Amino acid sequence: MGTGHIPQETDDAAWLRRLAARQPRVAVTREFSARILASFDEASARRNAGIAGAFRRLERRFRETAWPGIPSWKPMVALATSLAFGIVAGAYLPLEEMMGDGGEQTASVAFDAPPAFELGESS
Amino acid sequence: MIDPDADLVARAGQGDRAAAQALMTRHLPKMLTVARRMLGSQAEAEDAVQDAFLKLWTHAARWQPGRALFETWLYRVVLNKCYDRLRRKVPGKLDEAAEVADPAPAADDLLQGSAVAREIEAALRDLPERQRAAVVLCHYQECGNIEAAEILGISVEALESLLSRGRRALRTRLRHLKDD
Repeated sequence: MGTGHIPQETDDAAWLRRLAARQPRVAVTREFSARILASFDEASARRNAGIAGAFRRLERRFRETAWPGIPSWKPMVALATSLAFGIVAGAYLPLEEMMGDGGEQTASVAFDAPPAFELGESS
Repeated sequence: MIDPDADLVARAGQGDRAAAQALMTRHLPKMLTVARRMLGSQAEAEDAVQDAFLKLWTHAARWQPGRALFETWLYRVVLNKCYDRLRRKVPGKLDEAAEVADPAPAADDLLQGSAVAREIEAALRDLPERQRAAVVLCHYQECGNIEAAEILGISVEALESLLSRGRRALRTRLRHLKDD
């Protein structure tokens, strides 16, 4: 260990950077990596266990078939958006407007008016 | 903002072991370094990082890219695990644990500056935890100020203030060290 003094004019940040460089690197051991990977296997096994796990597997299989390579939140967002849109539309749009095609035909008949057609009286 | 880890996280969330391994290879050394500098003990650091990765494996399926970079999130989780451990410890016991439970000093001793390194580590351990986190992120992990501020959930100005106080305290404590 040295006994000299850190030059006062040296900037604190630069000094600390040099100091940090003098510390040994933190090594990741093979055992520790194996422990972390084992925790992944455990978490996966736990996730796939039970009814919830079976449901998740089924959902994953369906998603991979219908929408491959997409993270699970995307189909969920799409489903939620379409559901919300449907509910809002159902709640706020009047039924007849929804059901109507915009081209309805109306016929008005005046019952007290003389008929506008001839029945061949002149013949 | 494109997250280089987004695809790997999504795949790990679906149970892809290779993706999990790739994530681990990419981030484990950095996370272990942060935890080690925060806790001062290799054993404690490994436990904290293992807890953080367990949280990652549990939440990976629900990960939503776009909110924050994955690495930022993981740093936050690791730091929170470190804070939990630091708060659970009586200060005296932490120093003791750092000396006893750490298998690394044997490797450190092979290095010429091991005594200096240990002294620096002890000085770092004496900093308040937020200052320590700021110093570790900016000077050991070489995070930029914006990234470090985001990890710590504070403004850049607040980070700079933490850094300035941390550096000053370290410099005062370690002023007898040679600057070479």
